[in-house]
Formats: sequence, C-alpha cells, structure tokens
Amino acid sequence: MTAEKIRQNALRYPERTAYSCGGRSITYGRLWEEACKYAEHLKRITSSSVIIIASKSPETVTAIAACLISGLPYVPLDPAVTPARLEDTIKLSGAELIISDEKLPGPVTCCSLGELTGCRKTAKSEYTGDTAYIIFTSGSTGKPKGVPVSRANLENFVSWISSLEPLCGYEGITVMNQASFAFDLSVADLYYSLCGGHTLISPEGTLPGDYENVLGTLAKADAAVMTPTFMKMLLLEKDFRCEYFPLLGCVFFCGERLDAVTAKKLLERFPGIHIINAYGPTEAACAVCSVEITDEIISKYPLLPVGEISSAATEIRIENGEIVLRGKSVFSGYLGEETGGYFSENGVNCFRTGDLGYTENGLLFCSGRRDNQIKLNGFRIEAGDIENNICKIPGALQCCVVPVCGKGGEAKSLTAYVVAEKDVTAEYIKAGLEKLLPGYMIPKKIVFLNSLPVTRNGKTDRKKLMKL
Amino acid sequence: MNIPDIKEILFEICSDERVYDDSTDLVESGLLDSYAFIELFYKLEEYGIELHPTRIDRNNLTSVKGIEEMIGDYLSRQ
Repeated sequence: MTAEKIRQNALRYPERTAYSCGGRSITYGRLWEEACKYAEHLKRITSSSVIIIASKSPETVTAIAACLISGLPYVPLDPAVTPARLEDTIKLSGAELIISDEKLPGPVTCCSLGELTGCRKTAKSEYTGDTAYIIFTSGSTGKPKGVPVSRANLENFVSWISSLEPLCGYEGITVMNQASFAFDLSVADLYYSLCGGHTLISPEGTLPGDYENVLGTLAKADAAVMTPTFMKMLLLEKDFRCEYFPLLGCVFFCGERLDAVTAKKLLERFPGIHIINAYGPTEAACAVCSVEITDEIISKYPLLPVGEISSAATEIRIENGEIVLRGKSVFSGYLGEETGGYFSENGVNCFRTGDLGYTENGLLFCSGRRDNQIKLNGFRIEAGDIENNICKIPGALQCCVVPVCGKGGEAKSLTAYVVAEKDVTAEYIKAGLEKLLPGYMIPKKIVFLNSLPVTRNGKTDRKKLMKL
Repeated sequence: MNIPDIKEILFEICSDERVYDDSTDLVESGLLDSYAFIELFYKLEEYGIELHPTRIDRNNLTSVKGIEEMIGDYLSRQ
C-alpha cells in the first residue's frame, strides 16, 4: 500500500520533486521508474533484507522505494557506522547485500544502486516475510538491537500521521527532513511526504556546524520534522523568526522530550505556528500519538503532554506506571534472541516501552525511564551498550556509564566511570571505543575510580555516580 | 560590561580539564557538541552577548581564543 501510494503520486505529479538535497533532486516520475527497475534487480539478487547506507541523497530514497516495491525489508544504516557495528548488523539481519556509494569490506556483496544492474548474484529463494524495514538501535548487551517494523505497522503509521491536523489538510507542500534516514524519526517525514505527494528536502549540512545551509533549506519548507534539540539550536539564531521564514507553518517533534521553554520561544517567534509533539518508540513504528502544543497547554502543563490518547495510532495504557502499547502499530518482536518489552496478548502485539508515564484529561505524559536507557540529542542509547563495549577494551576492568543531566532533567552528555589497570588513559579508552561505537555513543568524559560504588543489593550505584 | 571567562564557562558546561589546554580543538575533541553549543550561547546571553550563529566564522569555534575573538568583535561593534 505504501508503494502503491508512491505509484499514484508518480502518476498524478510526475514532474513534482519527490526528494531533494543539496541541489540534487528526483521527481516522483523518475523515482517510481527507477525504483521499479531496481526492485526487479533486487528480487533477482537476494531474498533477504537489504542494508542501505543511508546518505542524504536521491539514491537512498530510490533504494528505499525499490525495497518497498520488491517486498524486501531494508536496513538503513548511518554512513558513520563502525565496521564492528556493521558486522553485527549483517549477522543479525541476515543481509546478503549492501547498497552503498562507498565500497565497504565485509562478507556480503556491496555495490552502489547503479551497479545493481550488473550484479551477477542470484537469489536462492523468494522473500516471503512482511517486514518493511529493520532499524537497529542501541542494545543493553553491547550489540545493536534489530527492530523489524512490518508493512502493516508502517501502513498504520502512515494513515495516522496523514490524518493529523494540520498535516491532513496540506497539499503539495515542502517538508524538511532533519534526522538521518537510519533513525526512525525520519520515517515520519519520509513517509508523510512520499505517500502524500509532498516534496521532501534535506539540508546538506547539519547543526551547529552549518547554520547557513540548514536555515537556507528551512526557508523553503512549509513544515519540518525534527528533534527538540535541533530546534533549540535553530532558536539560538535571532533571525530565525516568521518574518524570514514566512512559509513555515508546522513543526513535528519526536524522538526526545520537548520542553516548555523551547515550545514557548517557538510560538513567540512564529505566532500561530502548529507545534505537534509526538511520542512513540521505534518498536511501534516511529510515533503512536501526538498533541498540538499551544500557549494554553504550555501554561496548564509545565511538563508538556506527548499525545492525546483518543487519537492515538494504537492502544495506549499505563501499567504500574509504565507506558504499554498494544495493537496495529506494535512490532512482533526483536531479531534474534532478544525479547525486551515485547509480549503477545490474545494474539495481539504488545510492547512495554520502559517509559514511565501517566494520563491526565485524556493526555499522555512521559516522565522518564524505568531502566538505563538514555535519550541524548534524540539518539536512543542503552548505558549497558557502552559499558559492555568499554569492557572489551584491554585494560578496562569495570565501568558504569551515566548521563550528565541539565536543569530540566534532560541528558546533556555521558560520563563513563571506569575501573582500569594502571596505565590506561581516557584517550586510550576513547580511541578504543571509536572502533566499536558510533560517535554519539562515546562518553565525553572518562573518570577513573579505584572501585565502583555499590548499593545495598550489590548493584552498581548509578544514582550516586550521577551525583558525583 | 564584564567580559566573561570563556574557559570557566566551558569548564562549567563540559566539566573537562581539556578546555584549559590552548591546543585543544573544541570541535574535533567533541567538547563543543550540540549541547555545549546551546549552553555556551545561553550563557553568553546572560552576559548580554547575543551572537548570531549564522554570522560567525565556524573556525572561531574550534578554540577558546577564537571564541574570545568573536566576543571581542561583538563588543567592539556595540
């Protein structure tokens, strides 16, 4: 159905730009034509999931569309993926093919989209599953965790987001994408745009390094999807206001907590702008509920709500203080052995999110985590993932990773407390981690201790370390 | 106007001694990431220094000296 929507848009608006980044773009007509061509090749070559090194390019969007058409699941990975993470991803996903502009070493075929046509491999069988994509997130064991999202999950998400006010009323608008296509926040902008016949644009650079480029791109956008941290950086620029960005009418936030100060500032600079605050884990296809943040909501709730229960994409309930999701949006379990918060209830998929929450006046609020998952700049990080990787470095004996939090309780950076052999330095640990983990997961600060503090139950005392 | 001590501000934000070392590249070392960037600008605003991120030279952000020059430039234009 998702592919069908793109096909219809290609028929209706063949000349309309579907995606553009840094001066390179592709129309709906060409996107469909190329994606169909590559879908045929993909089916001939493989019967397994396809890893896409997801740079911001028309080729990436074409490769994603080709996978949707072929029925093969795609696994988007950030171009900055480390060889160790890539290897884990290949093993867990069973991928036999990587689509990448750069040659990557590994046991599987790696070629650019264009080179697919000349690929001699032949598929052993036909893919019969119903997974649309697999997104890998941080796993507490030190290995990435594969979250397969089915076609039905994705369709449910697309029809939900396309029905939201004011998104449902837009026609042929320009939407700005901020997140990497490897992170599920981008599912919101990518599919809202492609299924709705809108134009998706990505800036070539990012913040804080390239304001000129990002703001230049945003000036063309009618709506944007981003993390609250990204908005905070935009607001540092005093000229980021409606006079200079007259088109911008709606911002969709997801991926981390939106604070009242940021929302208020945005409303002051852009009176009348629609601020949509959304909530959802990767395990339930990007987002499951949302609420428009108005001046009234801000003055009523110091901790902003994350969604209206009544208009949610899936069932939401609170169990022992934890947000539990049930129904059409929810995935059917992780790849491999991992069970995590997944469970089935009378044949219906359910997910214990690990997010602490409560409801009030029909609104959902999210107040924190019940485990050691950290949200940093929209990135979802398991403390255990970093800890297990630090302990792989020779000389590191024990460690504990905690977030450094700001006044609002939001994570600002990571600190690793490490017990190590005498000659081990912070630079050595960081250099070791660079080979194992993506940059955003490497703790900014490494502190050496003779031993880690423990609680009465004999567990590492994280709370004590957070107060150090 | 009081000219803020950038090294002290950065240390407060990053709690990392490397900010005192003049040879540290703040961007390369990861010290001045998005959060530190946001906090640095908030802090400077408290001192009445309102920089435009679009109007600053990115190279100035790599060192404390560069940031000080940027602030000096801002103040001389006030």
